[in-house]
Amino acid sequence: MKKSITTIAFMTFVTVLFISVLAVINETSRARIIQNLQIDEAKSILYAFDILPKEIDETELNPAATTNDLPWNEQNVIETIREEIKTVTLPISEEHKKLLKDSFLAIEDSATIYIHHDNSGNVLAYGFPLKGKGLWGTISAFGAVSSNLEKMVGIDFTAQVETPGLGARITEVEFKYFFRNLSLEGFHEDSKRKPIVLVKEKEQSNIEDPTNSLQAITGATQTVSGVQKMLNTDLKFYLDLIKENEQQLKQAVSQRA
Amino acid sequence: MISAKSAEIIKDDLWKNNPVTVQILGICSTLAVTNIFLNTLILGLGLIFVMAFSALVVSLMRNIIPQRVRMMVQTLIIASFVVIVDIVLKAYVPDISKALGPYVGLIITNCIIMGRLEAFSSSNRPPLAFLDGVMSGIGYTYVILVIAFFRELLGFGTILGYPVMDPLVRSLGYSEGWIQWAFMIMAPGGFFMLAIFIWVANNISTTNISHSEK
Repeated sequence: MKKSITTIAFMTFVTVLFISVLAVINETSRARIIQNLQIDEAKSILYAFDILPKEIDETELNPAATTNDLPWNEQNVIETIREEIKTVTLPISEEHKKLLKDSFLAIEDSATIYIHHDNSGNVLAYGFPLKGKGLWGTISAFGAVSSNLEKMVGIDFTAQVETPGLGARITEVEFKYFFRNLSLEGFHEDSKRKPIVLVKEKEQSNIEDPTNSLQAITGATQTVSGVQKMLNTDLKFYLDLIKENEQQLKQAVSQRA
Repeated sequence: MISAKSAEIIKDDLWKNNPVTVQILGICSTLAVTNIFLNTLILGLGLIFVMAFSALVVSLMRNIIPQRVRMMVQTLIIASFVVIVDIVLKAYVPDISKALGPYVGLIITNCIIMGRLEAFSSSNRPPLAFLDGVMSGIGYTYVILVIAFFRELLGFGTILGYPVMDPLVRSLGYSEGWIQWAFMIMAPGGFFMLAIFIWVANNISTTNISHSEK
């Protein structure tokens, strides 16, 4: 009995000791980690809106480059977000919620729309957060569409736990480049076909030849299918929401200007 | 000067009793993360750190840990160092942390660490346990780096993200360039490379250890 109590006491002491050490390390690094996450998120928003650092041509980047490889100055990121992006929160109606049963938005009461605008208060593009299921876990992304809602401006993946070298390649420029100018025509049609499809190989990007197709990644079928499903579910909702509240969104930007 | 015991540990961990090629430990991560050289390098460095300091702490505490909870304590120690690596990567090299995704946390499941703590650190003095931890980590890391080198080279045609094979193949007159071996990027490619490495290592080993004799 005494031996058991000693063992329990020892285990408790050791556990508390190690947890205390970890708590101190965590607390001292927390501010920096949060700052890193915020900067990362801001870089992703800018990338999705096709706002790149000066003198950067996306087509000349290494195909395996990620958003973090872009030579952004942290201060520029913060200033660009402050000057060119505005957010508006819109309520999600019960009617919309019914259509969103497979989406992360099903449990939300409101959705945040990011607006990219110029100095005169004209809307250039709309953006929004996206979430879907990958092979190993949730994929979080940020998508942006043109102001007339007909084309996608871009996408960036803000969090994912997919297999490095396979599914995790969704974060690489080579994959994301096919979202630039991706046609959203299918979302505006009353048809049962999928608005966005995957193809094994695309000869041209959607910039040269706008289509509704994305190029899949070899060995990452489930991840890319998860991205496709995420887009086909969430984009429909966001496009409808923006269309319904277009005046309010435009006013929010013009008031600011 | 290195003592005879230290020299033996170095020789054992790096070659004669290498954790991957001889003990066949740490295979999960060997197959999973060795398709990109940089990720493999960072994971290897993380493992060396966790391995060395876990070994040191277990050795320091070896006389006070009750026998019946020793494995629980060892797991707690390993997990603590893995969390430290995870926090440091997130705070100071967030890009690498993102690229490695869940694999940093999975260092804890690497059998090499538990194996060495149980077999060596729990019954040896701290300096030797620390040396064994470092050397076992290096023994694991150089093997996965060699595998990663060939997998990234053949799978992506790159080394550390820089295109190597495509310019090489084009300079040899093949206008279509390097066709990536997608197989090498996937886990089966890791199996093949590991098997080839073990085969080569056993062939050049002077002792030529047979696994059936272990």
